[in-house]
Amino acid sequence: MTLLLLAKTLTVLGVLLVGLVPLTAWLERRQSALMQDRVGPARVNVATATLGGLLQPLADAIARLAKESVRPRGADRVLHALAPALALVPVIVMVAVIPFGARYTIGSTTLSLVLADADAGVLWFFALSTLSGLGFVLAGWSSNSDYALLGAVRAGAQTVSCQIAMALSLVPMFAIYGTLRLSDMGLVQDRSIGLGGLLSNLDLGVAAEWLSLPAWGIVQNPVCFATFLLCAMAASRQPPFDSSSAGSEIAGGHTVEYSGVGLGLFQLAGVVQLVVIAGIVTAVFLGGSAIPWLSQDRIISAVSGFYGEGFATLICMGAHAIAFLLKLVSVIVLQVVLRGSMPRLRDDQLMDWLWKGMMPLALLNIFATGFVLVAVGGGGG
Amino acid sequence: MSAEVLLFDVLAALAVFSAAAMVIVARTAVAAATALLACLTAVSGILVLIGGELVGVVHLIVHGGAVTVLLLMIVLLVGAEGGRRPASRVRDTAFKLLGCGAAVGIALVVVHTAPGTGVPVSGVESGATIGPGAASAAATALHPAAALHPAAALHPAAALHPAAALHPAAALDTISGGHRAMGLALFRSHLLPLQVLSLLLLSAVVGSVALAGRRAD
Repeated sequence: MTLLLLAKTLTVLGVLLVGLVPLTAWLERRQSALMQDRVGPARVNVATATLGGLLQPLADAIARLAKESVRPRGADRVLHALAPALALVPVIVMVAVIPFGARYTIGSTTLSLVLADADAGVLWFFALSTLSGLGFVLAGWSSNSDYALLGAVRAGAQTVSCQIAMALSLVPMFAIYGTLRLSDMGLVQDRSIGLGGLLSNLDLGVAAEWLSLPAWGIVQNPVCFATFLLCAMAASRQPPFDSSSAGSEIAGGHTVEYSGVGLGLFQLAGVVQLVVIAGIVTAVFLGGSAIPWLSQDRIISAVSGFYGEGFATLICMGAHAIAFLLKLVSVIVLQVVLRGSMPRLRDDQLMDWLWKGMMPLALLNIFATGFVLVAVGGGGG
Repeated sequence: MSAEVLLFDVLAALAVFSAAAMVIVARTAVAAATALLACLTAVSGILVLIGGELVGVVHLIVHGGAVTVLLLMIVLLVGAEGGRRPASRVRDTAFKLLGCGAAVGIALVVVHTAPGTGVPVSGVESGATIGPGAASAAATALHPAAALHPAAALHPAAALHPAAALHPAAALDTISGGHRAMGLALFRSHLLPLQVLSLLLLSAVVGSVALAGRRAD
């Protein structure tokens, strides 16, 4: 059991740090360049092959490690050193609650493809993202710089405001699924919603079975998807919600006095946050690892006829992991599209938007969803 | 020594050390707030360890996250030394005593109207033992005597009893189902204490608006 957990942890950390983080960092550069009609990373090469800038993240990492870390005069020595770690560690821990597969039974063992199958999975995401925000606030305060302090104050206000709107925006999904456990949410979404009466008059034969929608969160409550994604992006201080670190206004805000490894850790925290948000959105709204129209039972029963059930389960597991990664990467691409296509919100505009826009919308969505659930007599409750 | 006991020892040591040594000794208020965060995180870890996962994570969100951020904001905006001398010491003390009295009154109402916390419980009743705060659930379940003491139900520290780490299953039995059991308890059997507690929040909102308004003059 312990060995299995260790193997899962190493696999997840490996895929995250060697695969997804560099890929995301590259996407951020390359995709933004395409959107802004620039060339993008084109210098780093191996024997003149630039590979579309794919090696740029590696070069960035080496640059961060090689550069000197400067601590400004009058800065708080302990907190200035501690802040990057406080920003990064919670974000890495968040990865533990994201299910990258469903639950499988091979023989007598049940295997769940998630590191910590926490009963209150989504709540851990909320708790840890607040803690990570504290790292940024402390970074700004401990730097003994006016720009950094301004960034810290903005980051603090943003953290508190975003958390409320973000948590409220996800409540309808709890009501729909009847669970807070992310792996259970994946299982609930692994089915299809028939279009019912709409098509029942037509004689469609076999095709009728395929004319259905996957029971994903985004299909069941699209408003929830939009509000949560935007609030989560705002909570992670990505553009266009980056007024706390606005480069053209307060010169980098809370991270202005960081260089070398410290700055690298903050940037790593930002990239991992992008991946984590994509993971949570995939798990809650995009069916987790489920493949549309091909439920787990269906895949296993189709394949086991040829190879036996154990092997069929393994194939299903692999297919699920690939499906999850594809969805994850597409949400990352979506986030980069959003951050590249909108102008930055000013500090007060951001507060306005969160408190007077997102929060009432999320509350309204809670009531509307509750009303529908009671009317239909469904819901998990 | 089992892993749970070891983990409990580490977390408990961290909580006590960060609270006793660092929060009090810290030179700046921001450092003290950071140490407080470490303490709250450790307490939340202990709550998870004894099976109160929901309580632990909510504790981390509300106290570790939101409250600490607000605390830091206040400290770094006004400074720890900020604040004016009251105009009249006698009137100030009177108001303080009145506030204390109100708080104790609310605490008494909450404790005595909450099923399973006002009277000594014989054995563990399912559902009914879950108190208004998560900690009270864990405390009552693990240590029936805690229910005798009104403060115990309100104070998370009650859950820190070492026995908790030895019998994580005891807490799991009462809080199994986590959010479901908690929701049912809060909105059915403990609705009145919950609403009384919300008075406290309301008074805090009124108080902060009054303070902010006075400064604007």
